[in-house]
Amino acid sequence: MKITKLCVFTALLVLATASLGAFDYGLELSNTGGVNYLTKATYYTDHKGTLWLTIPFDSSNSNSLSIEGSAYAAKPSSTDTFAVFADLDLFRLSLVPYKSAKTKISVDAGRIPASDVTGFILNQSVDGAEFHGAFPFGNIDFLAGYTGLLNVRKGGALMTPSDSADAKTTDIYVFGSKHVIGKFTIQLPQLIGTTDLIVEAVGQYDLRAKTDSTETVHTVYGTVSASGPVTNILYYSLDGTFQAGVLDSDKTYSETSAIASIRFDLFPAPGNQLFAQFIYSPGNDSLFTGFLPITFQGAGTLYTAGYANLMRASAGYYFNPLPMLNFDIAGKVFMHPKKTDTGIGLYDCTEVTAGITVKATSDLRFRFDSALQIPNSGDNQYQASLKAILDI
Amino acid sequence: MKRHIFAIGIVLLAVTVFPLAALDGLVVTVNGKVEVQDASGAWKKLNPGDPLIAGTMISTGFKSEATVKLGASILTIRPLTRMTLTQLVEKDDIVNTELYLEVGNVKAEVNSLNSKKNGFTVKSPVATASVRGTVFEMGDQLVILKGSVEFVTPLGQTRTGTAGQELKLFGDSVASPAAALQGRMETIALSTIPSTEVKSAVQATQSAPPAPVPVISAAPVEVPTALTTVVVSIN
Repeated sequence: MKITKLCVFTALLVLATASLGAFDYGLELSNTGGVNYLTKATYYTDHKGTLWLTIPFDSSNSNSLSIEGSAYAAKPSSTDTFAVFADLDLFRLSLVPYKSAKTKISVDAGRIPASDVTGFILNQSVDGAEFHGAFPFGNIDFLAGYTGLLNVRKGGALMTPSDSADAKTTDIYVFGSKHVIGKFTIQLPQLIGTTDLIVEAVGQYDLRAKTDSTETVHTVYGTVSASGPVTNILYYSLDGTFQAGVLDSDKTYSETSAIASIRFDLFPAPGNQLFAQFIYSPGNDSLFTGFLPITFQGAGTLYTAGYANLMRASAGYYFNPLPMLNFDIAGKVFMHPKKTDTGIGLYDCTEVTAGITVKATSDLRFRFDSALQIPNSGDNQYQASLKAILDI
Repeated sequence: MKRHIFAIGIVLLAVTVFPLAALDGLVVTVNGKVEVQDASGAWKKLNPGDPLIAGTMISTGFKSEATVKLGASILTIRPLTRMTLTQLVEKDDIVNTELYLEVGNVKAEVNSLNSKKNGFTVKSPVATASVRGTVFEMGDQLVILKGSVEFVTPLGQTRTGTAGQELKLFGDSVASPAAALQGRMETIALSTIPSTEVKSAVQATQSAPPAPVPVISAAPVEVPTALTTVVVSIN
């Protein structure tokens, strides 16, 4: 009933604003075909069709409504059957409710993308609202969101084995794990000399009903980020996050961890960028548990584990000789501060990735990706794919 | 009593007004179609040697350019630009120059006149650049060629850039010079659907690149392979 009401409301809103006559809409088709060689060569395909619509409520596009819906289909390399599902990816109402000589408040509400300043903790859609405040001293963001209405097929907040178990489904739409998320960010440009400072607090509360067979986890994260120029072509970014939390299982456990990263970006000439980054997250010991983000993300391409108990050194080069041709290559070395259950020592593996992006026309783009993983023990693994993206 | 008040008024007027002297600008070179709006509102051709007074509006056409001298500073007005010289005055120890850049691009080489300080400001509908002894170019973004420039948005957010840096606006915020360099890389955006738009000024203006857009697939959800192992008990 609620979905019907929402559809009717949306249709009325669309019709009511039709007189403005400034709709922007399109269809984006993304098709990927690839091969990977883990123990033997297997083929996979991944397809996505996204229908999108933007309705501006004013000429400056400050107030608008954006809607995106996608149909997904994939044949993973592990199976011969196609998996399909469809979802409402974005329903974002953007408004500027307040503007004065010294303050501007804007808000994005609905189903919106959300990420933290480092990208390690939170990087997914949520249902909720994000307020953006611009002031003479800097910028403030405040987000409040919920994950329980999202399609579990999109992954997202997989923080406990209970969350992961729910995600193993082939149904078209299954509600995701119920986490309430809050985020507060303050950015102070050039606070000390040329250094920008960002301070951020992120928290999530697990609303899953606690039973004997389920676990719940509640976590908070505090991040401090400093960034700025070393020279006019060399820039640094230094981030540190401390995590505290409580896991309710057979007993109550603390979830204390941290993740730190330093990154340098060098722009030696137009169209050339080099980067080097080092990430450190402690392993289990008497003080720390493994880093537990809200959004699980693999730390590599063929290396699919997360950022817990990880030291990753990486470097890469982006070369864009022409506006329609981009090259990139990167190397990542994965190490563990603490020995893992699998018996792998400090060094785990090295991963090399290379890619080419071609903009054939304004509406058609191609992306070739390749990856090679050289593990500490065992055979090398490979992956290559070609993606075509067409805007209609 | 009235005489005393009148005398004090004269003295105050002398102290406050007389040290403030209006300067004239001078057109040095003109290339192509460059016009100036006179007091009646009519447009007429600008010629080398013409004087410029505060309030003058100048417009350049396609492939047209003009160089003008404002005090000791040199201003190059690039093609397809419309700007107004709003102030050019010499005080005791400072020369104040102010321009309003309605549209287009100007390059300013700010030099000291009679060893006095320079207050050189270029305002546009979206930002203000203030400098003291420098060379910079301002249009949709600010390119600093020499010295340092303070870039201010209408809300009052400020960022100071130095020679070799470029500052761009994101809404009412000034992005880090690294963000401008990232923009100049002209990286091909694989997807341009609305969800890929960065809406937060915090993320758009910071030095580090924003978080990558999450990849969604119909393939089974990638379950974390390194779920936390808990070792610390608190009860």
